[in-house]
Amino acid sequence: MRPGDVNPVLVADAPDVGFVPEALSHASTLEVDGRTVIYDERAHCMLVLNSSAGELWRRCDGTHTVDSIADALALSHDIGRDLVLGDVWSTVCKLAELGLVADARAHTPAA
Amino acid sequence: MGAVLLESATPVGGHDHQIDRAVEAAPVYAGLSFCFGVRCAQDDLARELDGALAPLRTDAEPSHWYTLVRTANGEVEVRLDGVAVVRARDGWWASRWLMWHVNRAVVDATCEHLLLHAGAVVTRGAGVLIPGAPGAGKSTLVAGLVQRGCGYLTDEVVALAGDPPVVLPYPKALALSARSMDAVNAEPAGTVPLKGKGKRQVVADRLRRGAVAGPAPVRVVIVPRYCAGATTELEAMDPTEALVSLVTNAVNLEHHGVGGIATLAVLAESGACFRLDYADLDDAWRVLDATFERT
Repeated sequence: MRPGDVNPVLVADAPDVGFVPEALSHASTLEVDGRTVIYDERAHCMLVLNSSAGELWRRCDGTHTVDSIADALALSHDIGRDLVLGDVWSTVCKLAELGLVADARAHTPAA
Repeated sequence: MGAVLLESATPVGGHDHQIDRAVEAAPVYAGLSFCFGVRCAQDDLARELDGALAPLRTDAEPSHWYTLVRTANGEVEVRLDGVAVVRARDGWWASRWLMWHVNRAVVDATCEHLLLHAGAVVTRGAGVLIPGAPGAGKSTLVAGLVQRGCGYLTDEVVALAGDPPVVLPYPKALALSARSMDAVNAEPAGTVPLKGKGKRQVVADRLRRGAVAGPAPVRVVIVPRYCAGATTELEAMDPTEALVSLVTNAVNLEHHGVGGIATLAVLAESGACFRLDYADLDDAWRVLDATFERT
């Protein structure tokens, strides 16, 4: 996928709780003053995440589903899971739209 | 190499003895990693160019040659290594194009260093980085600081080298608008007009003799904003905000990637990044000098 391409998941209204976001190799991460900064080595763009988005980003490792990320964030912030799920999904969609994450299921061999 | 050019066109100046002299005595300059000579047989034009480029003079062997060549229809062509880069209606315009081209070539040739669109000065041995978009007032601030005793490093392209980062000098002539010339009380006489926008090139020595300084470690970042009539205000920047300002003014991050961002992050997290709103250079100097002393 290239930056600017629309990820198919973005057209879905309801969260795809089984989506497994995985940071793509051209998305480098560093911490600046406690905030997560993503540098897109392909598009040469920088993204500064707020603390919640930073927590989400750290879980975009190809092993966590959107569902499990929402669970974890709901627990750590003591907020209703349903509320968190919407935010997690919209953030994952935005990261996918920017070409920074992809669904790890797409390249996981079927069992 | 110059002789090749004579086959199809005449170097500005026109006569063989002038051409020979120009080639023999052609001055050589270096801006960061770009080392170049300039051949121009028209004495007044050559003097003007040398006046503007004088701070970059070097004894090094040039890798590139500019030649100003008069074409058959009277126009003047600027050639780099024999290839035309611009054809101007006269020598006056050609020299301005050449100056513009030099700056661009310096950026292109210096990809080994992280480059920022920024000015830089030195005070008390510490480098002061002054990033900003065109029109933000960075050249005016640099000129004002140089007049008040700071060493001059550059007004437009900062090259960072090493870890922790050091600013390498690129002491090109400062490009000052009419407003900036007024602000620093610079006399237009003897300065060189730049292509477009009524700017003039002022070598740092005209602001203060011996102003050009050597490499300096970056200790302070000032992001200026010239606001007519504004009271001078200096405000500490949040590290993330400072990083965004630095990255926004990075010229060649594509060569340095996340390593370049990490270099800039070190500066952003240094706790010495400030936003400066100013209109009056004396006021700005009072505020900044006190800050430089503390940091």
